[in-house]
Amino acid sequence: MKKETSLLLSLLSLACASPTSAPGDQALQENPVVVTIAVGGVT
Amino acid sequence: MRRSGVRNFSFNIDKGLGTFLPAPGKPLDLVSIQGAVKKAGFPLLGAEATVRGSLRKVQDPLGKPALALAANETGQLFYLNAGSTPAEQEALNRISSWADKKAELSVHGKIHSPAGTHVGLSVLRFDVLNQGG
Repeated sequence: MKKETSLLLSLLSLACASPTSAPGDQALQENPVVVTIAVGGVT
Repeated sequence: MRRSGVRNFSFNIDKGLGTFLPAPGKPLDLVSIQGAVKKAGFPLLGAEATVRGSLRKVQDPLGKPALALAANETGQLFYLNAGSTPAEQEALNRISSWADKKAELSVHGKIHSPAGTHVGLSVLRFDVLNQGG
């Protein structure tokens, strides 16, 4: 994992967000709010 | 800050897409998330959200009449706006009939103009999950 990616994940966790690999209906059934962000410069 | 509420830790970084759940019982603080993305050196290209809750007639942060979706659990208000396309404007028109009813809705839209926990949402589509009493 690139250093920048690791940093992003760490910072998001500090922002009290929980990245998930199961977006969509399954996640929505368990959570009232699901957010998807698009970031650039990752390839 | 603390790491509470982190339940798993994966991210589709190849596509540049990340899906996040606010920590349980806490309002979405998009400013913090934007700050985290910026600090990590990535440009934030856009954000969308799906929110479950009930629709209310409220005043927006500027005191103007507005429609807002009060999220389940936290009650956080997502101020609904018409998007830029006719379909998005039609979606807002259709959803307005559910204001101040006990119906539970699921609304998906583009996030914009966040200020702290005040979040604007341009409605792309919605579903009625429960028509209430």
